[in-house]
Amino acid sequence: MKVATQSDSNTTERSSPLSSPVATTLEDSLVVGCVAGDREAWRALHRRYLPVAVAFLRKLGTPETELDDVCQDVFVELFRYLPRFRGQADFKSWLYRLCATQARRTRTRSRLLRAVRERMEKERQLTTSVPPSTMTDTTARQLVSRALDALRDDERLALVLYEVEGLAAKQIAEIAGCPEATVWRRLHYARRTFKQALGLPEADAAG
Amino acid sequence: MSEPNPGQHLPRLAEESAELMSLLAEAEAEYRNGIDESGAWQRLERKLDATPRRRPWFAISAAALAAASMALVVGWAAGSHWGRPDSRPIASSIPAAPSSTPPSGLPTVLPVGPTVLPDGTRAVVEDGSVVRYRPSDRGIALQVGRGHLELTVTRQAADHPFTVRSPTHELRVLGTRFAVTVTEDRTELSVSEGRVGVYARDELLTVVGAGEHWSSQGDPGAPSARAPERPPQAAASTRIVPDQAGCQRLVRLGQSRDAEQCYLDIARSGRGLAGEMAWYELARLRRDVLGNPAGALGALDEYERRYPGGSLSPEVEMSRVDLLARLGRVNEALDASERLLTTATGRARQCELRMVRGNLMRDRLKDCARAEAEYRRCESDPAGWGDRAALARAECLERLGRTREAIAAYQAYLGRPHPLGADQARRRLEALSP
Repeated sequence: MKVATQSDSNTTERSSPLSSPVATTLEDSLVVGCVAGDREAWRALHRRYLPVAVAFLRKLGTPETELDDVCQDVFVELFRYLPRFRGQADFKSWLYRLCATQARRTRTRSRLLRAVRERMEKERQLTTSVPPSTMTDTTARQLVSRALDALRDDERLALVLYEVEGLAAKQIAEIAGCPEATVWRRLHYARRTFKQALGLPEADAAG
Repeated sequence: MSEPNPGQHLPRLAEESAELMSLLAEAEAEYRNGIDESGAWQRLERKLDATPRRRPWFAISAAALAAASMALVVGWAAGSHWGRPDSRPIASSIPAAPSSTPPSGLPTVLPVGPTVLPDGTRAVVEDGSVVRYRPSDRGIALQVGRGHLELTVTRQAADHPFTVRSPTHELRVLGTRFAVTVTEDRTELSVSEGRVGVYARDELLTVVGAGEHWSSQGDPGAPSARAPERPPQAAASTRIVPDQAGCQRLVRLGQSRDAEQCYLDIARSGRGLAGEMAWYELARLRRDVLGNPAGALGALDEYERRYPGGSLSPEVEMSRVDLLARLGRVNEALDASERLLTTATGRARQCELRMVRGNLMRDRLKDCARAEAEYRRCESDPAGWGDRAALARAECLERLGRTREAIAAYQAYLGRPHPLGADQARRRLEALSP
């Protein structure tokens, strides 16, 4: 996982291989190739960024059963609008934005579908009930995911982007489509709730 | 607690606690675990190839069309012009003879004036417009940057649609004739032949049929009566779109035929999830109440046609497998279930699917060897499917003459907690035991 290396997190993204000058050039090359219709470039782009998208969508709470479809929707949108993207913004931020949008649509759809499926489930010819799952697993991912589940969607997005992905507040504001001050406010409450959910003490009034 | 000042520096949580840093790092590794990129790419390629209107390498990059406020519809009819910001009515004259034919194979900017495309489609590009022609082996696409375009589209094959794309919408035509007027505050559509789908952001708003009229200023989810100046057509009517609760009431009252028509009205004029649900409910009504599995399958086919990859696609595919089995279309049911098992939804309901498959193989194909393999994969399912699978497997082993294995299977079945078929299993054991 990327770790903060700079004290001033307001303006500086954590260092990562993908933000190095060499990687930027590779990114540009891939984008150019994709826009030109080079299928191998599409494949390379997909190979490079699918893990980023999957991990991010999981952190936003996308169910595993829908993860594949949501990822496909993200990349379909990405491929569709890539010609308009070229060089205009940070590519990864744009990918995060696409993922956040699809995750939001999935949550909305899931809420409606859940109501539909609950009704359908009652009518299925299943004579025995499914035993409740036993929550014996306590992996790190599940601990973190449960803590993230305690957050509102907008707070979750802000916290994941800031604390885990290492983005600056300004970038988060662009992805979330809100003012930077709103990002800080969301982060403030998200961090408090997140730490409470993990059973960690709050550091101080500002934390 | 006071809210933070905007711009206040917040140290990262991981900087505060080594324990939290370790937890987040470990979680991150797990979040990135189990990703099958190769499989994901194959599925994405299939999806892109199967839905040409979404195909990214033909995506446009044009500026928005003028006056497209909500649903953008491209109209072309013999001799009709696009609506203009000054609300000039649609003309009805047939365009003049074409002056140029662009070469096929390479994208090109269509010249102002009339042009004939290689497939015979007539295009008239108005002055100041930017229209690019992008043919491919999947169909012809026009990319409209700005301006107005008039088209007379020749009949296209179903798998080679003629597509027009803008930055926000995509339209597919199969030789339909219709006319559109686009002004600064509304879009209006009149369909002469065929049907036209009105989409916003990839979501189908409504389908307008021959003789119907639609306006963005009315109910965007339903067509209405044709505009008065047009001659009335048989299909034209002012629709009062019912709601699904009303249809459900009719079902409860036993008025099944009325309920069927109720769902059909919603399905034909509905949009988004409401429209999807109407088709699905119609299929269920026909299957479960009206005893019409073929009609139910037809409703599912219509759903797939209107909403490829829609929100209820998993349920539709499950129902399709069931209906194909009921109709005795065994091989189709097996093929459909096999495809479904490669999807996330199919995997989540794999025991249900494998039971259907096993039963078809056992009862229709008289192939207990294949059926036994299907049942075996679900024996350990903790839900009711495991119980059924275990008993069915034991019975198949018995039919195959594998007596020793059958006895062991029946005994294992009786060892399960609360086996539902315990009496049957005991009788078979008695019969098999020496």
